[in-house]
Amino acid sequence: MEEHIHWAVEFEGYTFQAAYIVLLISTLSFTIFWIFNSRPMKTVGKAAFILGFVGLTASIVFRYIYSGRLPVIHGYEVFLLLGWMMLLIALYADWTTKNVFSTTFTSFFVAATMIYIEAHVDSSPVNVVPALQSKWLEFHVITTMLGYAAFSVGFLAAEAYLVNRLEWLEELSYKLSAFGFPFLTIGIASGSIWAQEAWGTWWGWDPKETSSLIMWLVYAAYLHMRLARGWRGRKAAWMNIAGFSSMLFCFMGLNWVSMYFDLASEHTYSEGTGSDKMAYFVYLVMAIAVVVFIGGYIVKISKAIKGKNQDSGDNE
Amino acid sequence: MNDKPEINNSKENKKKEKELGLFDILLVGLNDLSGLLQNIRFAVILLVIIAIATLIGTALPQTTMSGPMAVQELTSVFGENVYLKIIKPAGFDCVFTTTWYRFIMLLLVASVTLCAWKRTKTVIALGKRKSPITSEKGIKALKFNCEKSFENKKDALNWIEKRLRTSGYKQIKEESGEEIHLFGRKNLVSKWMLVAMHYSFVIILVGSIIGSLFGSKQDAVIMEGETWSTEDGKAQIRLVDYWMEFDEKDFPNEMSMFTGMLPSDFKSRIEVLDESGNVIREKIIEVNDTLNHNGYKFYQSSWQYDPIFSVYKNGEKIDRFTISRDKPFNLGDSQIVLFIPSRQVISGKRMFHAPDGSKSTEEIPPSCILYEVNMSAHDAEGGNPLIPVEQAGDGSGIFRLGDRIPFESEDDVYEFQFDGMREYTSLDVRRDPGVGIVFLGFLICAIGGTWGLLLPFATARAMVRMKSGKWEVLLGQTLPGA
Repeated sequence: MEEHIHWAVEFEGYTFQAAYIVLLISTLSFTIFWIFNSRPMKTVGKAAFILGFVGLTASIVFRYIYSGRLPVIHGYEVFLLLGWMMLLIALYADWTTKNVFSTTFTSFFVAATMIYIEAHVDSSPVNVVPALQSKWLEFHVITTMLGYAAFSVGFLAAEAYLVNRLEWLEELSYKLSAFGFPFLTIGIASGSIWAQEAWGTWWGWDPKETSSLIMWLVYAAYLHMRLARGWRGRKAAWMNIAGFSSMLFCFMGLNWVSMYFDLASEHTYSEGTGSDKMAYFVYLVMAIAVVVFIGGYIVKISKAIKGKNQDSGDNE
Repeated sequence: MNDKPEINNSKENKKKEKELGLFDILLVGLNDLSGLLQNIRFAVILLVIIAIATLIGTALPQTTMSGPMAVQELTSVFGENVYLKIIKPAGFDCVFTTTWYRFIMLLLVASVTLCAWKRTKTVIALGKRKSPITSEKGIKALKFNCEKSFENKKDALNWIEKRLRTSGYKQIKEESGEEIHLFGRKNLVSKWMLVAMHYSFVIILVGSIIGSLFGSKQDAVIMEGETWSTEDGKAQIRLVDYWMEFDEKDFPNEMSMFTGMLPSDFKSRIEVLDESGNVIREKIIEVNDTLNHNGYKFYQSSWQYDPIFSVYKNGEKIDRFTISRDKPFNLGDSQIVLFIPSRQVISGKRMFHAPDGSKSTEEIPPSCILYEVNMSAHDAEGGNPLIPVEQAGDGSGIFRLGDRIPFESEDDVYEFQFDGMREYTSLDVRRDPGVGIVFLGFLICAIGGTWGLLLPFATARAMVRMKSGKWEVLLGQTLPGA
C-alpha cells in the first residue's frame, strides 16, 4: 500500500472524531449561552462550530486523497457530505439572521448524526459499481444533498418555531426550504437524465424515484401554500415538518422499507452488506431515538431563546 | 314582504333557464370546470391522489414490469380472491397504465396548464402596472416598512428614490395632489421563471406521452458471435465478445470488506452491421456508455450465466429452456412459469486489474445454486388468472450437471434437469422520441426554479406627504432590501 494512503486513512478518522467532539463543545457552549446568557460562551460556541466545520472539511479531503473520488458513493460518505453542507448552510443562515440559532441546533444535529454513523454505518470505501460510474454521479448527489441540508436546517427552525412561536424562525424555515427546493429539483432532473443514460429510462417508478417525487410534491405544496395561499405560522411549520419527514423517508426510511417488503430498487447498489433485517431494524430504532433526543433538545433551547427574545426585544 | 321579490326572482331565473340553449349550458359547465381546474386546492388534491397511486404502484409488484411474476407474488401474498376481486379490477397490478391513472394525469396537465395561464395573466398585468397610488394602510401592511421625516420635499424624494434605485427597484412615480406615490418592483424575470417552471411540467408530460406512444423497448439477449436485429430491421448488431472487470484496490485489511467482490464493469464489444451484414463500426458498450444507431440506443443492462434445463414429463423429455429472463414456456395449452426468487450461477471468465496496471484472468467451472424454485401455470394467452399448480417444495441446493429438480402437478410428474450454462449479454434496446422534450422540460424546470426562488420577485410601495410641517416618507416592502 502506498504511504500517502496510510496517513490519509488515519487522518480521516482523527479529523472526523475531532470534528464531532468540537461540535459537541459548540453545542454545550451555545446551550450555556442561551440558558445563562453568557456572552463568552457564545464566542466559544462559534469558534468550536467553525473548528468542527474545518474538521469535517479535512475529513472529506483525506477521504478524497485515499479513495480518489468525492464522498458520494454510499451511506457513510453521503452522511458525511450532508453533515458538512448542513454546517455550511447553518453558518450562512446565522450570518443572514444575525443570530446563532442555526449553528446551535445544527452543531448538535450534525454531532449526533456523526456519532451515530461512526458507530453503525460501514465506512469502508467500496468499489464503484458500474451503474455509479458516470459523470452525473457527483453533480446529482451534491445538488440533492445541498437541498437536503437546507431542508434539514429549515426543519430545525420550523420545529423550534412550534415551541416558541417566534415568527422569524418560521420565516427562516421557509427561506431555507425555498433555497433547497431548486437544488432538489436539479438533483431529481440530473438523476433522471443519468438514469436515461445508464438504464435507458428517465423515469422507472423505482421506489427511490417515487419517494423523491413525493418529497418534491410535498415541498412544492408547502411553497405554494405559503406563497399563493398565504399560509404562515403553525400551519406552514407543520407543512415544513411534513416535507422533512418525506425527505427523511426518501433518504433513509425507504432503504428499511425496501428491505422489509422486498421492494426491488435500482438504488440499492450502495448498501454494502446491509442484508441483515434485524440490524436495519436496530438502526431504525436508533435513528428515531436520535431524532427524539434532538427534538427534546430543541424544545429546551427554544424556550430559552424565547426568553432571551422577550428580554432583549430582538433576535439575540 | 321579502317573499315576493324572491318568487319573482325564481320565476325570472326559470325563464332565463328556459332561454338558455345547450351551447350556453355547455359554456357555463366549461367555465365551472375551468374554475375548478384553476383552483390550487384542487391541484393539491390531484397531487395527493397521484402520490397515493404511485405509492401503490411502487409497493405492489406490477405486471407491466415483472409480467406473470408479479401476479404470482400478488396471489401468494394477498390470496387469489383478493387479487381477482380487488387488485386486478382496480388495476393496482398495473397502476401506471390504467385508464384512471392516465385520466388523473390528464386532469393534472389541464390543471397545471390553466394554473400557469392564470399566473401568466397576473404577471403580464404586473409588468404593465402604471399607477403607483396606494394608501398608508397598504404600505404599513407590508412586512418590511419604515417611516422617516425630512425638512423639504426634495430631500425626501431623493432619499426614497436613491434607496429604491440602489436596491435594484424599477420605479414608477406619480403625484396625486399633496402626496407623491412610488411603486418599485425588482426581479420581475423571477415571476416569469416561476411561470416557465409551471409550463415545464406540461412539456415533461407531453414528452412522456410522445415517448409512450411512439417509443419502443426491446431486449437483445445474445451470445458471442450471434447477430440481433430490431423489429423494424433498422438496427442490426453482432456481439463479438463480453466480459466482467474487477478492480483490485489496495485498501487496509480492515477496510477491504467489499474489495474485489463487486465487478467494476460489464462490457460488450458490439459490431454495427448494415443491411447486407457488413460491419459499419465497432464499439465497446458498458453501463453509462451506450451505442446510438438509427434512433436506437443500446444499453448494457446485464450480463449473466444462466442455467439451461431440460423438461421431462413423466420421464419423457419434452422441452429445453433457460431461466435467464423468467419467461414462461409453452406446455400444451398452458404456460409454465418457473419462479426462482434467488439463484446464483458460478462460472466463466473474470478479468482483474491490479494497481500496477497488469491484468489477470480466471476461469471458474460451472455450478448452479438455486435457493428456491416454485412452478405455476396459467392460460395459453399468458393472461390471468394465474393458477398456482403446486408449490414445488424446497428445491434448494447446489446442482451440478445432470441433477434433476422434481415438480408434481395433479396428474403428471415433471422434472427439470440441469444441463449446463448459457452465457449471454443482455442489452436493452430503446427508442424514445419524447426524451428530448422531457429533458427540455427538466432544463426549464431547473432554471425556472433556481432563478425564481433564489432571486425572488419583490415590490416596494412608498408615499411622501406633508405631515405636521414636515415631509414624511412611508416605505414598505415585500422583502427586505431597500
